[in-house]
Amino acid sequence: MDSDLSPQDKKDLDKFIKFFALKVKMEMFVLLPTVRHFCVPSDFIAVIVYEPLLWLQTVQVIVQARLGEKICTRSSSSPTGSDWFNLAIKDIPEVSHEAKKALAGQLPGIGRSMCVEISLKTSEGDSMELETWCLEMNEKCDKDIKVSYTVYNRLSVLLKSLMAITRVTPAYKLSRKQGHDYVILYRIYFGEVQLSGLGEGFQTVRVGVVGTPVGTVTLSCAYRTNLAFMSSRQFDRSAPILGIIVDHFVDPPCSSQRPAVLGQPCNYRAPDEEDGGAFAGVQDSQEVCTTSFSTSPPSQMCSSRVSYQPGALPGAAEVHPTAANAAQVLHAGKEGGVGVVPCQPHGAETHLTGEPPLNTPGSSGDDEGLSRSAEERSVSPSDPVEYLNAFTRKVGAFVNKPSTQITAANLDLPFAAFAARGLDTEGSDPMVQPPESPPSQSPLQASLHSQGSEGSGPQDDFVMVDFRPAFSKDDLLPMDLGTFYREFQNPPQLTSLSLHISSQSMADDLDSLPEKLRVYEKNIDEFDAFVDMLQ
Amino acid sequence: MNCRSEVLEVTVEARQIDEAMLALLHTILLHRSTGKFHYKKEGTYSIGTVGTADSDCDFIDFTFVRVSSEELDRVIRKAVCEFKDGLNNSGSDGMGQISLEFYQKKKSRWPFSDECIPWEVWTIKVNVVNLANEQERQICREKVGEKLGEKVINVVEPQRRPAVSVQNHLPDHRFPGHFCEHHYEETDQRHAGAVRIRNLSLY
Repeated sequence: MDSDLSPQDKKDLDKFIKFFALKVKMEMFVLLPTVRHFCVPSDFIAVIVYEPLLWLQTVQVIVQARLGEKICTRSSSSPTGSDWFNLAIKDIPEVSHEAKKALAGQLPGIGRSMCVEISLKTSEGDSMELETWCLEMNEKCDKDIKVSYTVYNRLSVLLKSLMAITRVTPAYKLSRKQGHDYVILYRIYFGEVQLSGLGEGFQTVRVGVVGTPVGTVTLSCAYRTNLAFMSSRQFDRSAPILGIIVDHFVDPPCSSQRPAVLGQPCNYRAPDEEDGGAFAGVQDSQEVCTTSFSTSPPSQMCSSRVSYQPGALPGAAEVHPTAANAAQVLHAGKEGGVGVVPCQPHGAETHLTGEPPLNTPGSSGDDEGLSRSAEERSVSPSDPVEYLNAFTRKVGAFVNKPSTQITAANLDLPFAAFAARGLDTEGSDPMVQPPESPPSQSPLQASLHSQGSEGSGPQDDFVMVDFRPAFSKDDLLPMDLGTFYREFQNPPQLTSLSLHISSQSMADDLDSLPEKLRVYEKNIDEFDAFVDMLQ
Repeated sequence: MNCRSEVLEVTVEARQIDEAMLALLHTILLHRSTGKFHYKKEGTYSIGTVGTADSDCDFIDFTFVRVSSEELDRVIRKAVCEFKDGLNNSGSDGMGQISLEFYQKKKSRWPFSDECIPWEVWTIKVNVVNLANEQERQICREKVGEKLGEKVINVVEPQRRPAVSVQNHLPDHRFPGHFCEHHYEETDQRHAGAVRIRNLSLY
């Protein structure tokens, strides 16, 4: 038979026989782990056998360390078929499947690093890379080393080091606490290591280096040190996220697209967004405020605003269509003050700068505003600063400022709505010149009246914002903090303090004096006897 | 003496001494442990499997991996407990050190005694601090956890260099799954290695 084969065919046959013998030896080596006498295969083949096993075991150790539970395996004097590198490492089938799928039938080697990426994903869908484990091989060979025992033992030590290091990186503590808030994920890939997702200042640690006749195996880890959560969702109209938000007062990454708004961590609005609602930003701020201040009511940032409607009855308040609760409208009227917020729905700046003080008793400016507004009912001021400058008022508690100094920024005071108003001039002092105001009404009646008012036309310049004081609950009780505030800010004026009535009583007193004098003179003897009796 | 020496320093609170020592000693021993050797005919042998177990610390924000052997754990705990008692009773300013020594026992002929040749010594220096309030203890708990993590990395780094003794074949030993308890013997019974823990000094 040999005479029939050409020399080329003989060469091919020899190669085939050698390959077949080698294949049989490898299969025997794999199938008989208990009798691993390290003398059958050559070192080169041994490394080829060890490499994929090392890859699989590395993935198993890393992933099992991130399951979130304590790992415990038993020592055994008799090894089983799955105990490679003299270590009892559990074999999770899903992880092995994923690792083999990532291998895709090819052996990792020089230039083909195997990476295991560990990331965190919250229940809201946000994710963050925590660490990347990289197993790679370079061309540096140690040809003199004995593979059969030395390399095998060193690979075993490498896996032990991996076990120890996986409990040290920050991702381990996170994985132990994973639950319904967030989960830990892993991803296996081959090729170049991707470290860009680890953020700035990531640390690297080398787990171990093992030299083999075919190359040097290096196992290392790069882990994130900055675990603060930077979510991209907070700039969308989305539900609040869990975790730590670090950019309270920092512009977001896409700051170039944002309008230059001063210090607006809670009210971000995209510049190209149409303001369909006049104060849609309010709701946005409420939404974001919920994110940033989870323990405070949303409207705490927005404070309270009152819209005054000149065309309607004095004291009437209009409910802005965007107000959350029409029933809880701040009364804007009558003797009290007028809070005017011309409607300029552009960004948060408008909300903060257009915030007026609210009604407090004894404010001359408000009365002046009442009278003035009655004259200028048809006027819809466009510039809030000019309109507000028309009033002489105080801004802030116990602060006197001339009208020229009143600017939009001055009105931007925390709790300015609750600031007491002072008297600017005697002429406008309600004590001297009582305003002609209708009889007092309850805030609720006024609001209801305003809702049913037919005389009010559309008032685009004014807005009514639902008044929700800090730390208050929903106004389910008849007497709540919000109700108290409203009544406190709009109390009915005392009749004795009413100038009209006081002047009237004085006039009556003056008229009745002569008659009283006559009566006293007539009964003077009785008065003298009474005085003598007392003495 | 051609002995490799490594020194680790930790600063802990009194109640953290046990766990800090256990974490470091178990990490070292994990790397120096191997499975049990079973000799078969024709000069072949098989090596057993070493199991591992995670241990959470109660007073330190840290978890370490140890060999899954209760007997080994008992021996280590006993040594650490003796060290801690000596530290408390010595009246020193809370400073002391404990060493883990790997040595070879060279059998000698009569009348000479066996010779112990250490080939690797790990020394852990301890500095005990007293904390005033619970807030400081909480901070210390986290800080010590981070420091122990760094020490574990320091333990792992020398493992890249091969230990002299493990290059030889390692025969039978007393405990299933590992040999780190006391001694091992080569097939030709010429050398024997051992591990001991010594409280070197309390100062």
